[in-house]
Amino acid sequence: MLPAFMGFIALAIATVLQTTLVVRLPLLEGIADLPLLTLLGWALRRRLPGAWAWGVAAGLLVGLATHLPIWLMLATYLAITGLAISLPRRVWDLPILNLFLATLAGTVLLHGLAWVYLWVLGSPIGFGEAFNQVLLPSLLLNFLLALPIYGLMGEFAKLVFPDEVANE
Amino acid sequence: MKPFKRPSWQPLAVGLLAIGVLVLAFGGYLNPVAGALLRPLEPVQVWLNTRFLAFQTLVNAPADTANLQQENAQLREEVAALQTQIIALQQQVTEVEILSALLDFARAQPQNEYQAAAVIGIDPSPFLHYILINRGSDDGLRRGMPVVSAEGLVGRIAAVTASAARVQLITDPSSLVDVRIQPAEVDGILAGSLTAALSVEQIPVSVSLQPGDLVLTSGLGGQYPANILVGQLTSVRQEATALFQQAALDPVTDFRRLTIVLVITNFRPLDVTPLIPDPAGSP
Repeated sequence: MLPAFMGFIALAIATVLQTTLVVRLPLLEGIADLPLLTLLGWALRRRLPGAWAWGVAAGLLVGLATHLPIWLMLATYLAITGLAISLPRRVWDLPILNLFLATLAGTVLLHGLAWVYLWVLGSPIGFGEAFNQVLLPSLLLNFLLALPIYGLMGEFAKLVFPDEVANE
Repeated sequence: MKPFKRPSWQPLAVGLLAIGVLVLAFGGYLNPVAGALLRPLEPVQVWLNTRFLAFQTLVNAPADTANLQQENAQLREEVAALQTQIIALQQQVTEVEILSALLDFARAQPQNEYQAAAVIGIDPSPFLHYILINRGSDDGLRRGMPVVSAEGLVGRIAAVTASAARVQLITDPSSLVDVRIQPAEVDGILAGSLTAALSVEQIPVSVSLQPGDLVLTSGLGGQYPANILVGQLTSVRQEATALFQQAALDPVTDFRRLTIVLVITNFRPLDVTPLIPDPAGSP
């Protein structure tokens, strides 16, 4: 229960910062994604509990803040959570490499699914425009912020679950 | 038997001598003598006095420094508090200016009823241009109501909760607004884009347009009231074989600096969907 509660608090702060501050600092049309990076900062640490609860919280909070449907956000963030959990177990156990790989996959998944959904509904945004104006700049910003937020989440996890972080 | 000792005159003599010296001193007769005696002592006294004062300053200095530091800290706190107050007042001035401009706008359009709302957030998806405002269905807001700023058209309400609403900006890629260009008196369709650049489309090629022409809502389609200012044309693009020409538009509203907006609450958008003919030809 505690991990879910902590996740909700941390992701609520990240979502509020995202909708008030981060969206006002775009690079072309791309923006960094604080809820995504916050979720990865927790889910990539194998011994920390409640990663799925964090994924649900991220999906619900971002789904409430955006005009995109809540089920799409929930499905996307749960897929990203699954990816973040499975990366250290199935691919490599190198935290930095996993962080950047998960950031890359998470950003592509998030913007890719959003674009596909809007395209199906008849949005005039072309693939090239979405790729050049949104995906690549967002990816760069997420790469820049991934390490500091991963470190910040490590300190946060140390406060709540000191034993689990020490055994990482 | 102890021999009788005669009283000594010595104390009396000393007393008389002292009285004599005092009388002479009060009379000022001893000044030259005193001056001659004290003159060599003066430098010694000055030296001692200076050293004592220096020592006293040294001993008392830490206490003074502590007092000064405390006073400095208090003054810094006061400065910080005053600076915060100045920032708050500046914010209030800005808010009053915006509200005053909105009031002017509302007075200029007396046929409309307005509900003011503050912008509290922006949609986190970079593919969408939506804002969140702090008024909802509890304040009488409904889906489809037009939203304006002191300058002109902002968008319309796309979703409502009890205490908040989501507004689709006219810059959103999916936004289409029926507009009229002045002074040519020709209708067109205003379209948003991913980069928030606005363009007016579906303008017949026979119409002559100039940069600087005004663009207002036409009221066609029943989604927006007529005659709300949208912006000015900046350039016109016309292809030789095309049926329609296209014009770029500079909006009057600065969408990056939106803080307070007005919702037109007495306008009900029309649902014209049943009137649109079905392409399949069903009755």
